[in-house]
Amino acid sequence: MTRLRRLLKGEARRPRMVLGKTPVSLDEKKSGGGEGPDQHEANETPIPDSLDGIEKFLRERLGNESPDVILRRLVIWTSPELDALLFYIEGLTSRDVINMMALRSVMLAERTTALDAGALDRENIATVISTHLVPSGQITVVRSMELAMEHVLTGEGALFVEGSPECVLFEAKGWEHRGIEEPATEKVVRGPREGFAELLRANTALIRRRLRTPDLRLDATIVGVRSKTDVVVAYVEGLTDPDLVDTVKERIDAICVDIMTDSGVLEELIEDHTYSPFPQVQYTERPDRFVAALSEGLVGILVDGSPMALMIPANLSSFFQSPEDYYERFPFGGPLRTLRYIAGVIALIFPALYVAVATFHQEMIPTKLALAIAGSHVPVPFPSLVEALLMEVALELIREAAIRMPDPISQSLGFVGALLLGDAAVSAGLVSPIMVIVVAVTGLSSLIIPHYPTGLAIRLLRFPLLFLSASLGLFGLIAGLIAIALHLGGLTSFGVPYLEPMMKPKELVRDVIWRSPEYTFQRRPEYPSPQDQIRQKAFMRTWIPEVAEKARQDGEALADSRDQSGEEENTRGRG
Amino acid sequence: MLVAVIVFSTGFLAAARLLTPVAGTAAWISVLLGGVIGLVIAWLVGSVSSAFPEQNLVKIAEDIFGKPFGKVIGLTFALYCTVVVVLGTREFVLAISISFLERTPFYVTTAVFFILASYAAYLGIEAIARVCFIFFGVVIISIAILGVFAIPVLVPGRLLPLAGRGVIPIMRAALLTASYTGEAIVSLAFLRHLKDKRHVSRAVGTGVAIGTAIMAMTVAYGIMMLGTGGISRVTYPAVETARMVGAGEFLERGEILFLALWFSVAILKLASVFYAAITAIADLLNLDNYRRLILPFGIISMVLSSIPANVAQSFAAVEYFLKYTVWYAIALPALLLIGARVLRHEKGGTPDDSR
Repeated sequence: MTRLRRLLKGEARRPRMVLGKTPVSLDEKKSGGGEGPDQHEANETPIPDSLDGIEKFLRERLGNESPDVILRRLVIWTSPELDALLFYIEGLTSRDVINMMALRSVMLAERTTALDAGALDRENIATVISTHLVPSGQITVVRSMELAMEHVLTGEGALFVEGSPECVLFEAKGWEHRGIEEPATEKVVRGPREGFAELLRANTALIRRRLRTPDLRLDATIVGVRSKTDVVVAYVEGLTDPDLVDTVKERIDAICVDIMTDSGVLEELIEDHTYSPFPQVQYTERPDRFVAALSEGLVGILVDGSPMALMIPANLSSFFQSPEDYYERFPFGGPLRTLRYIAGVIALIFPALYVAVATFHQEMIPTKLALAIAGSHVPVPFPSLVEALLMEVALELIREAAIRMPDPISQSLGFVGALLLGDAAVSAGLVSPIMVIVVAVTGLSSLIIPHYPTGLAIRLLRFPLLFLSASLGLFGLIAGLIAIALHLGGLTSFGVPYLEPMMKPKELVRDVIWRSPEYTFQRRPEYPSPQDQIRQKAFMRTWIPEVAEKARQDGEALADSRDQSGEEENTRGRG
Repeated sequence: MLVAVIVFSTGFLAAARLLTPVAGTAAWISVLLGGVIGLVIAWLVGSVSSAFPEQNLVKIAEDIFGKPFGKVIGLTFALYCTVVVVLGTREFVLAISISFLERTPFYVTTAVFFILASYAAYLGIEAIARVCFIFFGVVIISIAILGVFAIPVLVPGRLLPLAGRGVIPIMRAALLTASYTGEAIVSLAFLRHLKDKRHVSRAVGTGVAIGTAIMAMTVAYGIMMLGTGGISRVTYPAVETARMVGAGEFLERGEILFLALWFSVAILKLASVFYAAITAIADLLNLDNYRRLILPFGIISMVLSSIPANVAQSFAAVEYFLKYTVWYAIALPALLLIGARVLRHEKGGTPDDSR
């Protein structure tokens, strides 16, 4: 206990996790438990000689009253018979595995010659059992009680044998969990419906299934002194920038917290600028999106117990993308993307712009509209700012309430609340009808942004802009916008400038505010600095005569000018 | 890109008013000539930077002329930047007050300017450059739109006679423009942040060229729409030009939107010059962290920019500035370059070999 406290205070050094210079995969780490870094733990208790001693020890450490801790005495039917103790946690382990595989095979094993009395002694007994009697894929033999407990608490079963200083651990994980469902936050009309769930291993399987390259790395570590949460860093060897991978691992390694409840907590602990309203790490529930990010050279992070996977680095444009931009045909992908940017701008400045124009620059708008605005504002006793604030706050209230409400009510509340409130406010003379339209359009626009935290940032920044434009008109609004732009300009995500892809006009049209046809994505985006720049062949549609001709010329040019690499798109990157 | 912003942003607001009396209808030609001078300056800047990559201005000057004299040159550079900041701010605050914030006190707008400039300087030149890039695109598009909508109002005949009042006035006006384009030497302070050291003169030159083109276009439009007589009567011809353009029923007076957009560019310019000034001072004083200077320098220049009591005084100051700074803008990089050449001859080619 004191050790824990010292660890949390940062006085004691946490044993270094597997992460670091030499990556070890999750599976290796688990099976190599005996050599794991956990051995550096200061107080290790050797396994007591007698089963009574073991049982007493476990009861003391895990509490006498916990009904899910199962300690089952049994006899292994060898000659001579061996007393053994099976130790597992009910609920974490699969009943089938425990019953069928462990209990049956150990208890009902035929008396084989290999297990005859002469062959067994104190030292090799556990190894012999693990190799001959327990039909399980993952088996570990450990020599300390702490290690045994740690593994059992992750869902393995432990078999102690009377007199042996070793313990056999076998894979038996199987707990109740949510199945693979459609992602709740990133819905698409067209595209896969699978979403990550809470179970880490299921999530890694979803990734492996979509990215079968042997270069996929899933490096595991454990975060949380008490919770001991599994965290996996995913990347593609030979593609992802190794410096980026190292940075991510370093930052995760530096975390020393008590528990790790969700990937959101992890995000906050590793991001560059905590005080910025803009998110610097992408997250997704969609394995397809996650895999696409990995294939572009990003680093992914999965946290056990969280259906939200993180992707690093991020930039502003990544928060305006939706997987559907690519699944839907080209003529619709591009305009939809642009629409989202326009929506972002509207969500950010529309109320502020309205207040500025209505308060300071009435001459800007056509006379008829100006008269209409003025007319609708006559019965309202407040200045435009108060009006706008009233409506904005009401909208935020409705939105927050709709999220916290039980599902059946929330849907109707969203509509009814907004409609009723707006209508009542207008007829009570508190706000003008035009303001209701402004706020409604703003609210709608902010919901179009696919990434929720970015929408939050924009919602938050709307209010200072409102105040600025109410006090200094358009001048204040522009000043505020410049301050935001400067802030974005100075922002980085894991060292990558936040506005990076927007700096390149070519990139801008290709895949930032517009999406070009699939066959033009010849190169990967540059911002994560992937080691391999070329994503696909330059000329794929060679059934079209012109393209075939171009491809032929390109091949010639490539052969001709190896050193003039600047000229041909295709030769760059490779050379 | 940053250079383009520096060059055209303040210049094009008032350029037409200052130039037309001097050069008459040919003001736009003198702008182009001024641009040529600017290109020469850009070439000088580029040569200096390729002779001394990795170094800041004060260090370069000290290397060439020895410590005391180098410090003096650094000081003049810092002073130059300060003057640009102070006058630029003043000009802008005036434009905004005259055009659309009549009742807001000067110091409020000035303070907003300097708060933004300080924030930008705090974030550093990279952030400023990135934002410049984005806003520059927006401004170019807005100018282009304005240009298209202005076509019906144009009277090309007003550009005649093409030669204006003769060659000498054109040259004099060109020198005036050149002091705007000469502000490109501010980029000397950013050189060590450039990624590609080889193409400095091309980059700065492109910036100057774009800036000049925009300025020339505005001046020409101004003359075509208002005539030479009309231009001399209004304070800010560009604003007036924009005012005459209306996008039909939808936007009746676009000039405010236009002013606001381009006000954003001005802030970026001032921010970058502000940054140049404080980094130069920091180098002079051998400070590691230039950020400590932001607050004192910001307050000092804010006070300085509030000194001119009225519009006339500040215009006079701007004109003085225009008349004389062009020589400084040419002299500084030229001096550095000549000094470097002489030094190389004496020492056997050390500085240039570092490439």
